Amino acid sequence: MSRNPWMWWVRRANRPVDVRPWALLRISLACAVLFDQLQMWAVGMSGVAYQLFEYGGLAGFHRPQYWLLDGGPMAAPMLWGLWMVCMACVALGVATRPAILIGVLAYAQLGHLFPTGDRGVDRLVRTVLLMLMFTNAHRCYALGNVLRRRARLRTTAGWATDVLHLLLVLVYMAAGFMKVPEAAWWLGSGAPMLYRILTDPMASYLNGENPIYRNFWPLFRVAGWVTVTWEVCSPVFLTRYARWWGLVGITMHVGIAITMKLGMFSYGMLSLYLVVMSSFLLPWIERAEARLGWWRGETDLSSGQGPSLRYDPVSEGTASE
Amino acid sequence: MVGFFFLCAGTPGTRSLTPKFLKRNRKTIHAKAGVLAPVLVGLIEANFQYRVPISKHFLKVQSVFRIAQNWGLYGAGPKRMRRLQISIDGEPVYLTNDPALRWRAPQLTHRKIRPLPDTMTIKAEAFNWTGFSRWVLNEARADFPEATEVSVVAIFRDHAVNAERRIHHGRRARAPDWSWEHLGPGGVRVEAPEVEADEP
Repeated sequence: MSRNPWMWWVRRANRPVDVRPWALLRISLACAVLFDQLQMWAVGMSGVAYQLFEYGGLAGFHRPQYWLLDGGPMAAPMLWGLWMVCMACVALGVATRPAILIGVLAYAQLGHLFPTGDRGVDRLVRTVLLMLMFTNAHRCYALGNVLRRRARLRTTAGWATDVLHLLLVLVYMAAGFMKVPEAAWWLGSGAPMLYRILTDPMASYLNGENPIYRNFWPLFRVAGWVTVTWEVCSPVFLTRYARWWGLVGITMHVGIAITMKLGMFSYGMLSLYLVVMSSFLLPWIERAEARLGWWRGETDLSSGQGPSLRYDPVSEGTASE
Repeated sequence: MVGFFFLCAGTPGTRSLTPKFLKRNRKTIHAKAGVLAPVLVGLIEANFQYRVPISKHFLKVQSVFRIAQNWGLYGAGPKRMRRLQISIDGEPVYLTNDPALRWRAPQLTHRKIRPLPDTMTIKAEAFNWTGFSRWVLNEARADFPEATEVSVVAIFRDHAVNAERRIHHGRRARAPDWSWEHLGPGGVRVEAPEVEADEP
């Protein structure tokens, strides 16, 4: 560590990290949003949910921050269309930064129009998309590179990785601290916490009226202890053990995807782990790139973006890279 | 700078950690968190002493992007099982999480739509009833043109082994005027309950 704390901070914030996990995060987040919204469109609900009440909308109220109150019945569907086009551009890497800005604005406006449906994961996705705008993720695995014949960037500043880790810490710690004051997760006499969550008919697939699940109450209780401990101890994400801690998080989100009806939530959260697990992921990316030679053609390792960050198992091991 | 903005404007889980929360829950926190209580109290105090005043300056920008967050990840789970049941002429056609009653289930279980039935099963007078009940009526009359009655009710059941399902509240519309009337416990018609806000 440098003797000058400010210089240490500046060096740390600007240290180059491999941009490829960030590019994959950009693609997967945009795809998760697209998939979620196309699913909603397929069941015929986007036109009803994203509409003012006077034009047949579902929501009985909207936020005053919705700008298109006088826009007529076509304003919301056009906003939705704009959002989808922007997300497609983000996924493809075409005009990525403007697409993120416009897409997030449209996404937020539709959230103000239909606040009931704007969930925590939507807010998290918007936050991370905005963060992506300040990284070099738009210049990696991007169709824009091919169209504009420009070199792919290999690195981005490390602060974004740190902020993402911190965001995960805050999300999980908040969730953990919400659970701590509740008796049911510890040795409460009633139904265990995880049982109550996983048999909530509104959000889960398990049928709580089936007595067979009551036989597994001890298992649910132990799993609840693990969940709360893992969430409250999530500052581990700020250490070099982040990737190991992340393995538990991935297991939890895969479990949520299987047992609960939360749609994009699991996929959105799992996308963030592409950056957390980057040290595990990079050897796989190297191998995949070696096979897909055409991506190599897009790569310019001498593009002046700091040292190449080819996977190096010797130096591998920090939380941020 | 960007990190600082996100930390102040978009910090998840801190919106509900107010002085009022601390005043109400100080004893509970000490009783439940034990040795961790001072850490918790310190974090909550730091939140409203330092972060909240700064975040107020970011409010206008934050609300444009709608990035302020509050994470519970289901807390400790609901204390009872709540379901929404839709019936046409007294015959149930939809019941939450029932594989046999799936009328409009793909729509009602989409993650963006699911919060509507969820809030309505919690509150008899949730704001969402207005638009939702209109949508249900339109869809029901399109699919069942001969129908004379449509009802939407919240069904509760405790976690106890022999607990029974019971109608907690709901609404019913009848031909020919199809105006909605309120239902109370057991599905009995009641006067409209007092309006309670379900949005902050």
